[in-house]
Amino acid sequence: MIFIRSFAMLIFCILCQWWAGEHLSVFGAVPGVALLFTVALSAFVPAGLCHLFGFLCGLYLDFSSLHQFGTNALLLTTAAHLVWLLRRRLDMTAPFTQGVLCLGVSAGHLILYYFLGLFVREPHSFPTLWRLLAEPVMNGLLAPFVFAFIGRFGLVERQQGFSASE
Amino acid sequence: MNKEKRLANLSFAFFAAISLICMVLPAGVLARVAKAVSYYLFTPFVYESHNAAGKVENLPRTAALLLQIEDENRQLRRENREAKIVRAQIESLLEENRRLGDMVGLSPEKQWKGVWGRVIERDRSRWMSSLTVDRGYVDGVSKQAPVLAVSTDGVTAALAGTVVDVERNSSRVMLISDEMSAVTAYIESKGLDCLVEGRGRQTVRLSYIPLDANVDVGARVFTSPTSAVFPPGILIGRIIRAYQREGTSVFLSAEVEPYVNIGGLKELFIVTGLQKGRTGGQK
Repeated sequence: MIFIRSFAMLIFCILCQWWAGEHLSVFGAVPGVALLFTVALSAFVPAGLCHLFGFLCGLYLDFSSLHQFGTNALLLTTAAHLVWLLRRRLDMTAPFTQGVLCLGVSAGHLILYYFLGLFVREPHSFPTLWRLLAEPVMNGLLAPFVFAFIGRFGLVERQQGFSASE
Repeated sequence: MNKEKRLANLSFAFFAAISLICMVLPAGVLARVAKAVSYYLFTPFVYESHNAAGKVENLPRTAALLLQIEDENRQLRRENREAKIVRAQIESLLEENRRLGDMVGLSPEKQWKGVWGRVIERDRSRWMSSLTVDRGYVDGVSKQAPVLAVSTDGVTAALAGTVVDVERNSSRVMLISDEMSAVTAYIESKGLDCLVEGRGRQTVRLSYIPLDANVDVGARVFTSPTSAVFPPGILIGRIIRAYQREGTSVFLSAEVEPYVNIGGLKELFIVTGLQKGRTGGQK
């Protein structure tokens, strides 16, 4: 059941990311909906599933890009793994933690995307200061809503079970 | 290490390895397969979402528009009458231009033909790099076709980019602001051939300006007749800053603001039916 729900979530996430890109861009800064869903889902579902989710979301972001195919897939898979490792150390149900976590992960994503571009020798300019400031803040503010949505979708029971057992 | 963590590490290593191979070997079999799969998986999704959203969004707007149509129709009829007179004047000027062109041996300007397309997807990681439009080879779009858009003041059309990938119902456009984009251009009234290069930002760089050229801020930049890809005379932008000579460089450079709003493009005009065998457009 969790796989079907996660698949539905993936479709919904891609739809939201596409819609956000069309309607919510502020001078080129777009909320990273795919990243937010990956982080939020990774806090509650098994590792393999969250890695697959991050990988597919990243592939969607890469498909619309001319350069660096695979970079977003790698970064979102890494983000999913990182959150999966951290979820036992952090209180993922607190909105403040969710916001700060997404803010940090999205800032890291922007910077690492640039450095991975250097690694594969693709011409790529460093993200503008505006993007570097606006996108993590946007993501940080949106994070509690995405976490709450995933909670409503019935994907948090497992994590609560973890907390109780630990 | 417990079993769950071991499995998690294995799963992470698997997906990370696939991603890394795609990144490092972009021309490799795995990367090409992944690209093709992602394209066939996501393009119909984006295309259909775009169409569905357009229909839903347009419902209330269409109802409101119906009320305005009558007024607009009357006004348009009036403007149409006036436009006929202007057209007659333009035709007379075109004829004169053709005659003068023949006298000095210039080839006649070709009329641009093409299709209008709507932007259905943008590159999120590099906003100023590329976008996808809902026109493909069934609409006559071909690779390296020039792409124009309405200028920010809404008065004219200006260069936005070039088509780099064509599918059945969609095409990917590399914008002039992409780092890989290079367009041969000339500065208005100077007749100097230069190169417009993308920088991944809203503005582009005009390079290879001769040292003795007096670059005027505000001068317009057009595609050059020597361009291998673009028809001559397409407006690109205007110079907003001229840079001083850098070190031992034998050329000057300038910053150009494109006439189109690169960050907010919604509709594009793709030129079709140009000569085959044109090359260039990418560094």
